Amino acid sequence: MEELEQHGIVFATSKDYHFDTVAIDVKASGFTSADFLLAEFHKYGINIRKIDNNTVSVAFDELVTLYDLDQVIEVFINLKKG
Amino acid sequence: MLENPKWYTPYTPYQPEIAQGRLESLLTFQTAIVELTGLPVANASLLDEASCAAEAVQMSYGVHNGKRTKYFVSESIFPQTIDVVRTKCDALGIQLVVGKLENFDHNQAKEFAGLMVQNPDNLGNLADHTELGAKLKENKVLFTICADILSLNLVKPPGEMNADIAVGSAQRMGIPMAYGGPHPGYFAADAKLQRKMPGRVIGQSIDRHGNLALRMALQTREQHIRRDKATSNICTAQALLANMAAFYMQWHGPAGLRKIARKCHFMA
Repeated sequence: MEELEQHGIVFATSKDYHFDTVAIDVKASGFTSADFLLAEFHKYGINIRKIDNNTVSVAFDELVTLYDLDQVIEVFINLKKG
Repeated sequence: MLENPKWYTPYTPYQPEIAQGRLESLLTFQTAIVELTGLPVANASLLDEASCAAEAVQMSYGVHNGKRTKYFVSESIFPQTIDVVRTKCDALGIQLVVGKLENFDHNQAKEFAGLMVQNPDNLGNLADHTELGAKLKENKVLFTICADILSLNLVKPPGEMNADIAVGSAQRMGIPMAYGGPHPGYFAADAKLQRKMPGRVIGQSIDRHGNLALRMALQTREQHIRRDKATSNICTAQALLANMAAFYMQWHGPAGLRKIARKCHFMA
């Protein structure tokens, strides 16, 4: 979460009190819409969840690898760079 | 297991003479749910998390003999859970109030049969609801927590937060996503509620030779006759999926499940 925060991603989930899911405030993070993020992540074969038009979440289970995690972070950072 | 005809019925075994293995596995499922939720009684699974939540509403309503006609649901629970709860409330004539938890007025608590929260909530936030649970107990408002079963390996369980009922999905205990279902729901409750437990409960007994034997226990006959008077009309379980979850939990054991839970948390 820290790394993404440094790149301007704003979380809707508490940094200290969460389990396996983090939600992201779409507009505050500088993205146009939740649908836009869903479509971008789809290109990489990653399913993220649309909670509402301004919130998406990413959930992790035990099958997620560090490679997958890197990819999620990379997609966010690349989108921020435009 | 998923493809083995000896296992792949969704039904709870009615004939103990030929089903001791499956009954033992369901008892394992119940025992694991009891240990993880910190509540003393669990059933042999229900159809999914949302229908478990709806059953929790019906149980809360039934405990008050239908005299408390309001039910409060925190708005930060999964929308599909709220939808199913709403359908159940419409059918029973319960006034459903969906709102922010902090807006629940404890001065009017006695009008409410129960209150439901989710932990972690829709946004992934965890909270300690112990104080809320204690306050609700004072007013006999039944407190239900929808909890992620894997998270309970690491966080305070519903039983320690003064919850009367804990529900959720056991999908992540080794059950494939299967494009959205089916997945087993789990339902655990306080001992005083065990006779109103929906679905099936597997218990221990002795056979005619005095040997330990397992069989279904605590069914209310209203499930079958006078059905409109029943505390619940659920007569089955997700037996195959509950059995798979039981084997998964047994295979990994408490230490293994904690390790898995820590990994998921680490990734997030």
